[in-house]
Amino acid sequence: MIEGAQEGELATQVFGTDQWLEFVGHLHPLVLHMPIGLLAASLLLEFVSLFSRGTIPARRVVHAAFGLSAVVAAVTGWLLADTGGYGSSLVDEHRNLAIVAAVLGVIVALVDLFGRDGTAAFARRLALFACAATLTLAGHSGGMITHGRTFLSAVAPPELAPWLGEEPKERRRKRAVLPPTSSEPESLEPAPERTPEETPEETAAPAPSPEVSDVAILVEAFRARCFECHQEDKVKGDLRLDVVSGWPDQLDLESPEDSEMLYRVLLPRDDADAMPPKGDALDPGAIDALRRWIESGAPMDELERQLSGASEDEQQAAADLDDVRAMTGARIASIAADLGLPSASRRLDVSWRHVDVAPDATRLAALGPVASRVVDLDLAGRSNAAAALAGLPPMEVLERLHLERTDVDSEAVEAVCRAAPALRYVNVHSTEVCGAALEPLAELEHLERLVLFDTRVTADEVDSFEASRPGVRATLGAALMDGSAFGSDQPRRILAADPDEGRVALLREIAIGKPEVLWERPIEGLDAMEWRGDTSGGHGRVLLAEGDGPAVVVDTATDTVVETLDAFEDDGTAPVARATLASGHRVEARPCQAPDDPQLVEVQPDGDIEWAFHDPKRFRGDGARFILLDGDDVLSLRRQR
Amino acid sequence: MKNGNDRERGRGCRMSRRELLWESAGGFGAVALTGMLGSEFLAGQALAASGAAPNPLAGRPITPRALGRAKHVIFLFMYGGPSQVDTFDHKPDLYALDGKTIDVPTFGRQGKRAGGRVVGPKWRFRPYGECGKYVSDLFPHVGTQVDKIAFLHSMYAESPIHGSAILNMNCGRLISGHPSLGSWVNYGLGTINDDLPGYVVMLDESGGPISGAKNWTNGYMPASLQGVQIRTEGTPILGLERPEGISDAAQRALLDHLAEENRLHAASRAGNGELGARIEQFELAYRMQSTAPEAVDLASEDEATRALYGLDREETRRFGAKCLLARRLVERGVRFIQIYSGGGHNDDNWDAHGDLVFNHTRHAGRTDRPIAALLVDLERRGLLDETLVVWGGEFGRQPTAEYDKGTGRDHNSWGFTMWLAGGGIKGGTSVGQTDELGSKAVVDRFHVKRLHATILHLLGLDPNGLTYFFNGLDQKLVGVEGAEPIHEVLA
Repeated sequence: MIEGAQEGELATQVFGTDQWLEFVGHLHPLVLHMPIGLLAASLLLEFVSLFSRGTIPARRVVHAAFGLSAVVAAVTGWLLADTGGYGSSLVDEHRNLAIVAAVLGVIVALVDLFGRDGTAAFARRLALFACAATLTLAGHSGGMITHGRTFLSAVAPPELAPWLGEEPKERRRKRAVLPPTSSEPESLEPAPERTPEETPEETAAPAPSPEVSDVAILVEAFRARCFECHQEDKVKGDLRLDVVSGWPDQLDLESPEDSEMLYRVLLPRDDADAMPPKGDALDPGAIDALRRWIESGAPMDELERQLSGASEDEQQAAADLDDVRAMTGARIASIAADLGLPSASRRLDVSWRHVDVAPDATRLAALGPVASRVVDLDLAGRSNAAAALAGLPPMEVLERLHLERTDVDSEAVEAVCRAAPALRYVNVHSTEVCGAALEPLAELEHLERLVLFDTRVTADEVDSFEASRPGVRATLGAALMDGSAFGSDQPRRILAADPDEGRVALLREIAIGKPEVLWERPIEGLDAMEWRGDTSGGHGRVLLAEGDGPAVVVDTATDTVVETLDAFEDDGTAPVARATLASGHRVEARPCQAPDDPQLVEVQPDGDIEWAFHDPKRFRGDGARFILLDGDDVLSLRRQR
Repeated sequence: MKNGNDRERGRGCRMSRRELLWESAGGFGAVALTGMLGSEFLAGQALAASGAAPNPLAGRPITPRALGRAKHVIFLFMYGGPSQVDTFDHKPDLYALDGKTIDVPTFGRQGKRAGGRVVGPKWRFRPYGECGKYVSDLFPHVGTQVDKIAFLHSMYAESPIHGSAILNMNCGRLISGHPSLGSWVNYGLGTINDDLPGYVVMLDESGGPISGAKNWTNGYMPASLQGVQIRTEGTPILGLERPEGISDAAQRALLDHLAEENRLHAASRAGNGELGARIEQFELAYRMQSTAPEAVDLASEDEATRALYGLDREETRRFGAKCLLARRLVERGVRFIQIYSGGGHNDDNWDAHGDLVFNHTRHAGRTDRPIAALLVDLERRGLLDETLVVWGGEFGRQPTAEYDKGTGRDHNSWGFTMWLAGGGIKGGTSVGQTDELGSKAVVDRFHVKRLHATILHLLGLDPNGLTYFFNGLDQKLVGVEGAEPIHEVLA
């Protein structure tokens, strides 16, 4: 590898190949005009030769010359792109189009020289027109590389601009800050044809701090003089100045005067290394701004904002936010979901939770300039939160407030509620907050969640609070039910009946698929079965309605009938069957018209329904019935054939 | 020549936006990248690294009612693949088929099979909560929390083999080299605590999962987005302590000098983001020397809380400690925490090929109470709606037996259950269904990347917009095809 590289280097030194290639490449701007001119002649002669056969030899010569020159232009262009510090998708596009144009040009020439029939003439014309179209596009992209993407589109009528390349940045920027309601189609509302210098809001903008203005001056000057050759599409000397990454290598922070960037722009104009290489020197004001900026430590974030072309509003917003960050010491970030919005309208999370700077009243008050955008304020774990909250500015949109594990008390909470009426979530767990705080909290119109775990608020106070504010979830804490209660130490019981086998049984499941029989009783058919009375322990009571016989309640522990119900009387009308219990209540079996109709109801003497069963499967049809019992509850009901 | 070309033309490839930041922002020492410069910097970028794509972090607008915005993720990874039909996917008809040989296509480590002997669910299911969700007796405590949980019953993955499936679940791809979910989350949201890593991984005592660190790799992203292993016993972070005889001042001087040397080294290698990341990692490690011991100090929790997590029982002590530590890390701003239940081999994890009852009783017994406790504790501290809890393994298990005898089940990536809780999830819901045997997702099937998309979405990130430019492509966690969040489970 290393040997090979050295060899290559040697060869270059001996023969000067690279230099020659570079030289030839630089002839591209000259050569490229040949095929363009010849193309016009080709088209003209193609047309004229339709009428005048005498011009055909001339046409052949011009076509041949066109094809040849197109190839030469493409080759020199390629060499220039490789050696001249160009790059980007635009160059690739130009290169590809030019290659296609050259190939088509050669085809035109060859077809004209060797093809004599009608098909050849048709193919030739087709290729020529395709070539003309391709060359036009190639010329356009080439022009954009040299003169900038917006050279043509900047001055084009708005309807044409999108077809001619990128729209000028200034105009796009202005449109971006328009309120959303005005985002109509372009044709309906053309963007104002103004340069940034003319916009009143910019001239009226407050004078920025000296550093800000230095970077602004600097970037403006560089944009005018340097970006032509040091940007995405053209990277002379492998240097890009339109992104911050290019800058650090040009700077010497310890000895600003030794910075390459400053050195180059200060060189005498006739020096070969002087920058910019053409025209006048950089404006002295811009050079001074550059020097001051480097001396101030070359802050990159401001440069980044300027280079990214953020609007003045955005820059102002960002600068405000930086100031607020410095004054408060808090961590301030846009919420993730808002990152697509202009910075001035992004909602903010403000947190002192994990920063070195402790919050105090002054620092909270310093949130003022951005207070109208703060949706989440976090002071969790801070021991001096109560004192700090005294400085809380009004926060109209604050939704979430973390005060857990702080020293806040009810008075502090009350003050916060006044300052932040839009709160939805308030967390004060593990604080000294007591029931008195619930009163101001109840005033919060949008409150949804209140975390009161480990405070001095009592359960009764929470109950009455929730009663006064339905919809608000206020929680004191939560216990975890002991899951072992559901485990194998309380085995599930199954009440099973199978009319085909003629028995009903209470089974206890000691393992899945392994029941033991607790109680068993023969039956003849089965109309109804229900688990009644005591359900804890192993045994209980079962209601059975057997065919035409009476319904009985059986105690499974003793296997005795504890109650006998009257037989259902079917009088042909609804209800279809009726029985009277010892308590005086009636049990009625009703026809089931809809799935939700009660199938069996117990009616009190005054007509009120005591309970009702809705599950038709439980009382209808053949086959076995199961009632699953678990602990104190009847947990589920299944029927199998 | 080719290299020269690339250097001149491929600036997008050469330096990502984030790398650029590392290189140019200065002040290497204190940079915890996204936090310091914050989202403001990212947002200021109208374009992604390629210069053409829209801002990768531009998310959807959040509606005012979206009270719960997830800021943290706790991923409870049940390594080995828990059986869905024995845990959360209730298949009543399967009990009766126990021991019967039926035709049901399966695909596991034994390859594709046309059918086999059914192993009925070995635990009872019972309904819990207001939603009446059926949960097996393996998870009686988690059962009590079902009203906080959204179950995804129709998950499917691309591979039924541990190594590739676990990468699928963690990194979105079957092949290695891609950043893991935690890296994406931290890339998208940035850190909120400069003194702790934003991405923490806790492994099972029996060892790590297959492929080890690939499961929490930063892939092609800067190294500071890599998961950091933290232990609940012994030294919290291995290799972190200051060597004997070195004072703080001496260490500081050493680090400063090292940073200076590294910076010089990096100056001539502008394209290499790893160098900046390395300097940052040294600084983070230095800060963690003082912060990590405090963060992992579980003794400072009160007795009731320790008991809640089952720290007083041998069975649940270890996993409980991890869950409790996870809550403490959430309180301290760690973005993404992954806890592994199970590691190593065979029955050290959920990979129940032999004795299903022994295996799942063991692992559910160790995790059930701690997981339920975590949900309860997050809830009562008001953290649950900011913290998304994810439960699941790399795949599920088959309804049929793997061998002629025994209850072991083979792998099954055609259908399995995962669940989400908190962080903007609609609790008490179940979406998707497997067939009546629980063998294959049939209704509302969700690829793993739908889960990933849901997680990113709940964090406020657009899963189809969050990109990282690498190898000529705007890489996404959900792949170039993209993926929609599972809207049915969003609150």
